[in-house]
Amino acid sequence: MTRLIQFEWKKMIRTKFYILFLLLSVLFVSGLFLRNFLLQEEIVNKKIEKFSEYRKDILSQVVTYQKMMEDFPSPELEEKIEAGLLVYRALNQLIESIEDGNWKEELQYEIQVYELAMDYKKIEGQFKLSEKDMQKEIQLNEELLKRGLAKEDLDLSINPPIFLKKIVTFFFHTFGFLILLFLLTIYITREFEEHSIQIAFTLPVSKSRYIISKFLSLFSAGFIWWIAIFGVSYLLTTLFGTSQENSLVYPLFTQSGNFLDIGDYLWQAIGYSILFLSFAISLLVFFGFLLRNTIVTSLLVFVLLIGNHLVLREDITALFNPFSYQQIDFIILKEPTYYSMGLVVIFCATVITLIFTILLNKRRGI
Amino acid sequence: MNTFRFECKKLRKKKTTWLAFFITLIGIIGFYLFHLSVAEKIHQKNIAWLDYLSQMFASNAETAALDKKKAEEAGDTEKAEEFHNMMVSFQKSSENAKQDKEYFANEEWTYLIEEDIRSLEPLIEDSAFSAHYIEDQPISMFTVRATLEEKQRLQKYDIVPFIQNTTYTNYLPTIYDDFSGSTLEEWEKITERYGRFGFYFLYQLIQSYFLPIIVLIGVFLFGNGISSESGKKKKGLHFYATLPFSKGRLFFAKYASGLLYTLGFTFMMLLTPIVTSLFFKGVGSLKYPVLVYDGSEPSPYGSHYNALDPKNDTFHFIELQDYFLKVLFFSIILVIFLYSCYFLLSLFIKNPGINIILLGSMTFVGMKFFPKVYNPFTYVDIHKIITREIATIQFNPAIEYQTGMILLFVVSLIITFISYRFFAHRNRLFQ
Amino acid sequence: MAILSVSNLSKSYKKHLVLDEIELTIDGPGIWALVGPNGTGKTTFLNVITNILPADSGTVEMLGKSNKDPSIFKQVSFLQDNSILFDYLTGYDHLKYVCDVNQIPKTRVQEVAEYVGMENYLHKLVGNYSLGMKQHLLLAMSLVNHPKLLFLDEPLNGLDPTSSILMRKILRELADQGTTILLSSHNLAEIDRVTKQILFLKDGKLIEKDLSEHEITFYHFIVSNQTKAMELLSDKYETDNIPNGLKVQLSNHQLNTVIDLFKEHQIDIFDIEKEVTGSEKLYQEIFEVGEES
Repeated sequence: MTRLIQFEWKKMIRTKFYILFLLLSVLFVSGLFLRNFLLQEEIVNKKIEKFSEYRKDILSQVVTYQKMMEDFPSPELEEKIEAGLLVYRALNQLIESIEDGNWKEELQYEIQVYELAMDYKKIEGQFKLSEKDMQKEIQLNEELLKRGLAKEDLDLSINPPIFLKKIVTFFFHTFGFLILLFLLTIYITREFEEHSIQIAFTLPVSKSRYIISKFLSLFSAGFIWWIAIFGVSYLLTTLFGTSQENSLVYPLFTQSGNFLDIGDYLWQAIGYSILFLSFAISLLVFFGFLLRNTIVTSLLVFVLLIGNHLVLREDITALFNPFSYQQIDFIILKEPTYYSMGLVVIFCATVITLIFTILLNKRRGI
Repeated sequence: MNTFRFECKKLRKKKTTWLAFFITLIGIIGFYLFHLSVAEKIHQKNIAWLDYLSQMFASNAETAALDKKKAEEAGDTEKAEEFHNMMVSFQKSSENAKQDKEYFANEEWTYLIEEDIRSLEPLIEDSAFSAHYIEDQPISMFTVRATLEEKQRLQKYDIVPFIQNTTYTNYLPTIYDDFSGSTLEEWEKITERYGRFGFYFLYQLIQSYFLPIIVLIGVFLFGNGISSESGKKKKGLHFYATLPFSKGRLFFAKYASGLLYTLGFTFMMLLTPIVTSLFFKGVGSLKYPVLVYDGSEPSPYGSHYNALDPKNDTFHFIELQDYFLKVLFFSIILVIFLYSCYFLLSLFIKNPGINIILLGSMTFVGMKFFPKVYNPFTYVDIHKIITREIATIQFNPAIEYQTGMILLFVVSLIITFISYRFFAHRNRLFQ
Repeated sequence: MAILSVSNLSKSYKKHLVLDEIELTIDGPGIWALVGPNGTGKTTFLNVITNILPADSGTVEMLGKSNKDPSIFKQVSFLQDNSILFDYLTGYDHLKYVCDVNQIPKTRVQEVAEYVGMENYLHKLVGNYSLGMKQHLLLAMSLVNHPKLLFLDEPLNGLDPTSSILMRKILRELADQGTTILLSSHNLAEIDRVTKQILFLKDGKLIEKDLSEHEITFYHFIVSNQTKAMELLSDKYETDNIPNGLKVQLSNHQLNTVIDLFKEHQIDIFDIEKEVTGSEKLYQEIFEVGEES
């Protein structure tokens, strides 16, 4: 078996495409890290810009009310002006704390801003954010204060776990898997198309062993891709990124509005991505050995994954549908309770697919 | 011509061509059925919601009636009148909800559209009346205006609308809306449209990049004419090398046959949702109005200050049939363009998987991230070109349908010429 | 006008020189065999002269026209290896297309299929053909245009004895009808049976030899007393024991001497069979190959 896998690897390395893909993926991760690294100052600017915008909005409302007050004074207007000014002042303090880089104060002032803004909205003042969003932000900030963590920009952060989460959303979804599968298809089907599979079928190796070794070699190729992506991301962020103590307990909102530690998120992402990789490759082996044609196999895998992607887009997930796990970020945040059972489902789906591949090919000739 | 016919025969006789054709066909039919089931589910949900509302109001009315009775017995006439008014109001709401439920259940869209128009008209007539809100964020005036005109057109031609995830006004989302956070999610949810009819479904598919995806599948199937025969184990090209005709003709026979099949494949796939819908809900109206933005005036202080004006920017509608006609002509050019690109790539790389990854990435990255007049990939998102969405967002009226057609065609010609020169060079046609 | 004229033809792959300033002129009809060990460039030579591969230098003319003029293939054919066939088409599809591009009526398809003996599987998919059937199809394809000059790359590969006999018969017939044939092969025994004109390809050069000058004739005798016959002949001639008889290298006039000798010693001759060889010996000499290798 080891020798068969070695031979498969040799073929993959000789054709260069896989190596090139690996390099491109690593380059892409590095590029993404470099971009985030260079845009670190931008995070502060973005925040200041956002809150300055709110401040400008509130100020212009207050000025209008004050003008109206001059012509038609009323206690309601006075109340609005007062509430508006409170929001305005809180926003000023918030912006100052951001500029000072004092994250604790920043979180506290942000909470204050939203609380005041909600009061302001109650008396028909206008504030850009909806109450729901503000409540959510307050909840997050309180949780962060409790855990002693600064707020991270989920898009631009170079904190290791946050950047790894970004990598998960970037690579481990329908399209990321599809690109990998498109690349690997040829390592099964071309041998049928060029009849070199005959060599394998005349070796003293059973078909089932051959199929398993093919699966294992392709899976190891996928796994090495996985390691390269995660490894480079981890290495870059650990060496050059920013780190916080306890950053593994950074809270993430699930779709139902609860918190999930980023450590748990990454743990789930690791489990799901490795197992879904194995399922996707078992599917490729199944269709590859069944159809024995590059184009049709790729197309069928494409139709299957895209079809399920469209189903997921309608928010339809099912614990026992292995394809529900192709959008890893989505499934973790939507159904965090699926985890252990989800792994069992994907694992079983992989094994069943492989068994079917072996059974279907047992009596089939070349 | 003989070689062209022979190449066509080769494509036709490949079992894999047919297998791939049927897989794509089944994929599209499956998606249509799924989409239809989601639409029906949402429709039923809307009916159930109205039913719930009607019952809730009725029960509130009953409670109010009881309270009224109690107040009357207690001799509190003021309270009794208050409860009476509440009861009447709840009864009316219950009746309305019941009526709406009936309209929804019987699909009597005319009444529902009329209701929408009635609720939208005052917003236009008195802009100081402000707009509707989703949660706390206002719906842009542009959206309100466009929605109203859309409804009026639906009313005028008696057109069945799309299904939406709301029992209130079915807004037409536009680029002028600026929602954020949970409001944006809510807005997207209630303005997501589900077409149950063939034409409507196709219209939505085109908005979801159906055309480039289908063309890419087409070129993946039929664009390997030369690359698949120039391998070390398959030397089909050597077969032609010793036949008495110029190898330039071979290039064009291979190019044209693949192109013809890609075109045929694309049109068949475009027709699939329409034909499938005949067995279910029908094709729908070709008069359905499609919103086209007229664009916004650029700021005199420079592009940095450009901003859309929801109150004054204009728009117009075209009919779905005109939209489809444009899509049809465009698909011919898009097929030529993507096919030429793939053909050129396949002269260098013999692995169709790699070629399609490269071309697919190029197409989607070019389309999404670089919306420039002279970027041919900008025009791949044909929906946003016909509706002038990209032109409006970019404040660049030059990004338009005709420019796209001409640009794509010219670039295709150049790429084809490069492919020919490369093929000729490799096969020493000019020695 | 030379039928095939190759002048100063060179071709190398990277630094490896495969064809080195080759000169060759063939003036009239007949069969020429291109012989050389694996990897010496026989297929490359045929591919270069038919312009499938570009030459580094030199010119090739066929029937008075440059090999770069595709119209020469109206009178020239090349039987290549079967990787040029399309598995998902039938034999008929291939032949009809070759007819079409040569502007020859479709009736020729049936004619040529019958001629090479493939009418039974003409309408089957090539993917289901055996190696020999594919060779028949390739031969049929190269005969469609009644070629004046015919190149064949390993035409005897994968053929059963019946097909080999048929192939040899067809080649001889074509040569008799005025076709010039250049074929490459490893099968020296088969070559001996079709031609005496051999082109050895060695170190990128062609060595032209007429086999009739190097012909060696063996006679197989089946006799009543093999031991005695062996004793009589082994001193004078190269003699070998073969199953049921003796194999003796003799010239034509020596044969009568041997028959007389057997009569003299009352040895009855039951059968005599003649075997002419030469190419193998020549091959061994040219490529310096020993028996043991």
